[in-house]
Order: sequence, then C-alpha cells, then structure tokens
Amino acid sequence: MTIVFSQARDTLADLFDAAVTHAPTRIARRRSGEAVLIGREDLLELTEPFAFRPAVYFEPAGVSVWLPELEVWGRGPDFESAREDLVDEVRQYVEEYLADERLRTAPNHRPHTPWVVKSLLLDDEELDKALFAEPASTG
Amino acid sequence: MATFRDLKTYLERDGGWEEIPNLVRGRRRVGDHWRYRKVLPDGTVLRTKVSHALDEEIGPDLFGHIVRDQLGTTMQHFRDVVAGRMPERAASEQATPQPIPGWLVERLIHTVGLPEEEVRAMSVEEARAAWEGYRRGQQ
Repeated sequence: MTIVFSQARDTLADLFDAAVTHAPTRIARRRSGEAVLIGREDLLELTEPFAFRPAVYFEPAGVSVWLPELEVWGRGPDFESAREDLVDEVRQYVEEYLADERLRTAPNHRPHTPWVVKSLLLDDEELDKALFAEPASTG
Repeated sequence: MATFRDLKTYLERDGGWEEIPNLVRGRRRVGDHWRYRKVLPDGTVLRTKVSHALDEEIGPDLFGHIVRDQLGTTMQHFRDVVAGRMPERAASEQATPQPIPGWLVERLIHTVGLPEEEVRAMSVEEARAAWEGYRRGQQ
C-alpha cells in the first residue's frame, strides 16, 4: 500500500503499529520520492544475507582487521583490541554515511548501503557478533 | 615499511585531503586517530585515518589495503609523494593477500581456546585445519 506524506503524518501511530507487526507502508512525497516505514525485525531479516567478511592480519607490531564490506580497518596490540577498534570504526563510518549525502551517494560508497543499514540496526554486542559470525558455508 | 607519520605526510602532500572530525563521541578508541577525506572529480570519496602513534609501523597487509583501497593509488605513487616527488596519480594496484577470516580467528581463540600467539603463526590453511579438527573432535 502506498499513501501520501500528509496522510502518513496524520496516521503515524497506526502506521508504526502496523510496521512493527510486519506490515510495512510505502510513503510517497511529491518531488522527494518514496520511503518505506518498516519494522526493525523485518529489516534485520532482509539484511541477513549481507554478511561481513573481516580479514585478520597478524603483523609484527600488532593485529589489524580489514573489513572489505565498508573498506574500514581496526588495529590494536592484540586481536581483542583490534576487534574493539573495528566496532568503533564501523560506528564512525555509519555516522559519516548518514551525516553526509556526498559520501553516501559516492560511486564507491553507495554499494555499502546494506551493510550500513545492518550496522545501524545492531547494538555494539550484536554488531561484534555479526562481524565475526561464521559464514553459513565456510568452504 | 611505512609508518603512520609517512601516511600523514602523504595526506598533507598529495593535495585535496581534508581532515574531518570524529563523529562518534564518548568512545575510547575513535579519538586515537586523525581522519581524512578527499573527493575526486568523478564523485569518488576517498577516506582514511591515521593513528596518533605516528612512529608505529603499519603492517604490510594493512598498508596494502590503505594504499590500494582507501587512498586509491599505488605503492610507487605513495613513496614518491612521501619523498617529495609529485608524480601523476596512478590507478590503484591489485593485490591478493591471504588473510585469516575474522570469524575463524574468533573461533580459534574463544571456542578452541588456542593462545593468540599460536593463531598468529598459522597460515590460512593451518587455521582452517585446526578449526575442522576441533569440530570433528566435538562430534
């Protein structure tokens, strides 16, 4: 179902209740395009296929973790601190991405959107788990 | 081997890089870096960060990702700019490092219980074999 922006504004409480019970709504605004009000649970499910594949490098001066999906890195004297640094780095990237239209529309950053959305939905502990989750197929 | 001081020198000499603020407040690690961004004519946005520990060496694998994936250039161009020579910007190089996947390092340290030093010394194949051996032992 698509409704116009003014109608959505007037019925936001109902649309919110619908969204969190798995009924998303398309909202159209003239000249601005369309947005979708969707429940967090549903969006988490939709972003599930977008796995993170961090690469760990044990280097002479410490440990580095490169995250190819967002092209960011964490680093520290050991694996735990590099991992913590990576979570912080993902948070920094998401904040930059949301704050700056030029970044999120850049040809080399636009493809990051699914992983940005996924990161946005997760708290730190969940994000850490998602970053280091075992792939469905490890072959 | 390059240090973070070399990286900072590159960003200051290459031209077009601007320092950007840390957006994630109250976190322990994000403040440990300077952050930079450069917008190319085609809209590509390059971004990287420099550790405040300027004299620390950047491991070769992470350095490869920084030069290739974040700076979008080549080792030769990087070295030339740091040395004060100003060559034409080159297209980035392709490289195929063999890192250990993040999930595998996490499992070997936290599930199998191997010391980080032991994991550090493993090749990717050895790490996978250690994980498979552990799983077979659990069945």
